[in-house]
Amino acid sequence: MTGRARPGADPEFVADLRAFVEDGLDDVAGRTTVDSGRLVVTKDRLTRALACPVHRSVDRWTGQPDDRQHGGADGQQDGRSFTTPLACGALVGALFRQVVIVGTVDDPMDDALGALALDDHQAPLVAWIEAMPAAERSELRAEVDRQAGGLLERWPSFEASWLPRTNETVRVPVAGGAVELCARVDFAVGRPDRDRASVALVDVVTASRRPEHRDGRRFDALVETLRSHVPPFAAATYYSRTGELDVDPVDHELLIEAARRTLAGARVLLGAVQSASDGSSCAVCRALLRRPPVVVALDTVDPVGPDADPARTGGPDPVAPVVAFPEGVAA
Amino acid sequence: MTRFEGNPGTALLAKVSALVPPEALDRVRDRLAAGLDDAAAGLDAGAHLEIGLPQLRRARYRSELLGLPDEPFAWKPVFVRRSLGIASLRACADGRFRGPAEAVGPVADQAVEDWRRTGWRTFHWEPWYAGLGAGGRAAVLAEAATWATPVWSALDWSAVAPVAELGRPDDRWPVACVAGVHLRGRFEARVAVTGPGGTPGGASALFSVAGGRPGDGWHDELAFLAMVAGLASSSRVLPARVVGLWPEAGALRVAEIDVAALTGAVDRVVDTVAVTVDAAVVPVSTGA
Repeated sequence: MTGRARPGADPEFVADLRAFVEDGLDDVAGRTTVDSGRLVVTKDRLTRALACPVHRSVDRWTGQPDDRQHGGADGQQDGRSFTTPLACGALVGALFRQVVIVGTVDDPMDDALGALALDDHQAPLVAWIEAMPAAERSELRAEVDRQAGGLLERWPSFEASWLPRTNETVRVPVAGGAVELCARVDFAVGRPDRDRASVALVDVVTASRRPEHRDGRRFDALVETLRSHVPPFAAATYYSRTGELDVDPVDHELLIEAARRTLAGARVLLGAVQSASDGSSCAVCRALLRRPPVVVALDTVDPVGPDADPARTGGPDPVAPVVAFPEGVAA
Repeated sequence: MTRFEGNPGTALLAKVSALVPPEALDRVRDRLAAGLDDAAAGLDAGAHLEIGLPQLRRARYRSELLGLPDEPFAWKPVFVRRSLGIASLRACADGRFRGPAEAVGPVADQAVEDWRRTGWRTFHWEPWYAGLGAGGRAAVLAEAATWATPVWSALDWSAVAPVAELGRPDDRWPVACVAGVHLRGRFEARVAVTGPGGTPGGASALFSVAGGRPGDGWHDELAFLAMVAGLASSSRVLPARVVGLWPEAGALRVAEIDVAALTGAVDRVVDTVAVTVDAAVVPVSTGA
C-alpha cells in the first residue's frame, strides 16, 4: 500500500507518545464529564471541536456558510440532516462490508438497504430513503450502483490469513479513564506483530476530499498505536465516488501531530479551552500552530484550492465573505 | 487489529500454583444466602431475576439503564456474532479455514443446511438468517468476523486448541435460598492447564471475551465466572484462573481464583441484586 518496508516496532516511542497524551490531559483526570462519567473523543467530535468559528463558518471551497455539522430540525441523525449524499454514504458503507466479507453484490441498493435495516440506529435513515420521491430515489440508486461497481472492480478479495475485518472499534482510555479515545475503523487488514508495523487501516468516504478526512485517518492511526503498542504501517482514505485512495505512511511525525491535535480537541470538548468568536483566531488554532484565516471581500481575491473552480462548485455567493488561507497553510 | 500487552495464550496456559478446595463452595453458598436474604427481600413473588455479567456490569457502571424496560427480542447481527464467531474459531482451529473472514460464511451456511435437514436449531438464529437477503446475511457475517478476528489472532491455537473446549453451554445455578434468582456464567472457552502437582490437565482456566474496556470491577467479574462454574459443576471443581480479553481496548486481565476472589464475586452479586431490586427491574432471560 505504501511501497515501503514495514517499519519495526519502537516501544520507547509508543511509551513516549502515550506519556505525551497523558501529560496533556493530566489535569482532567477524575473530572466528571459526559458519556457515563467520561468524555468519548471521536474523530467527528474532534472535527467539530477544532473548527474555530471562522474556519467553520464558511466552506473553504465554495464560500458558502458551512452548516453541514449542524443539521436542521427534521430528519436528523447524530445531529446531521438526512440528505441524499448522507444516504449514499451509509448505503455504500454497508456494501463495502459486503464486498470485503462476501466478495459479491446482488442488487446494490437492495443489499445495502437489507444490511442497514438490521441496525436500529439506521431505521430513521432507511425510512427516509424508502420515502424518497421516485426520481430522487432513482438517482440515488444509480449512484449506489455506480459506486458498488467501483468497489467490486477496485477491491481485491483479501487473503483470509491477512485477517480482513470491518467496522472495528478501537478504544483507549486516558487521563485515568476520564477521557476515552474511540475510533471506528471501516476496514483493517494485517496480522498483528510484536516486532513491526503490520496493519493497515482504511476509512471509506463517499464525500469529496476534505482536510478532516486526513485528520480522521491519522486519529485512527494514533488510537490504534496506543491500543496495540505498535503503529499501523499505513492509514488511508478510500473515496468511493472517484476510486481514489489517499495513503499516509504512519511515522513518528504523523503520530505526534495527531496526538497534538487530539489533545487540543479533547481540551475544547472538556471545556478547558474556549473558542474565540472574534473571528481573528482562537486558542485551538494557536495550539495547532494554525495561522488565522484572513477574511476578505470576495472580489479582492481569486478563489484558491483545487476545487475552487466556480464551474465545479456552483460558484461562491458573491455577497458572502470568503476565507482565504495564507499560502502553505492547511485548514 | 489488537495486539495485547501481555500474551493471552501464555496467561491462559500457565501452570497453576494452587487450587481452591471444593469446600470453599460451601462458604460461597452460605455467604450468598446471607447477603441475598436482605438484598432480594423486595423481589416480587414469582419474579425471575437472572444475574450474569451483563447485569453485574450494568448495575455497577450504567445503573441508570436499570429503570428502562427491556425491548422485545428480535434477532440482530450483534446477537449472532458470538455464537457464529465461536463456531468459526472452532472451524479455523480445526484447520478448515485460514481465518474468521473465510470461515463465517461456510459455517453459517452449514448451520442453515443442518437446520433444514434435521429441524434442529443449534444456534437458534438459523431460520432468521436463512430468511435474510444477501445484504442482511453479509452484515451478519461481517459482524461475526470482526468479533472473532482479534480472538483468533490473540492466541497460539496450536497450543490452545488441543486443550480447549470452545463455546460450551452457559453455566446456570439457581440460588437455592432465594426463589427466582439464578446465576448465569458465560465464557468463551475452558482450557485444561497443568495443576499444582505438575499434572497435565489437573486444573482448568476460563477464557472470557468482552466488548468495551475493563471497568474497575473487572476482577470480581472474572471471578464471578469461576464461581458460577464451580457452583454449577457436579464435580464441585473450581476453575483456577480466568483470563479476560477486551479486544476493543487491547486489554488483558487475569484473575487467579482464591478465597478472596470468590468473596469479591459474592459481594458483587449481592450488590447487583440489591441495586436491581431497588430499581424494580427484573430482567427476564430471552434465551438469545
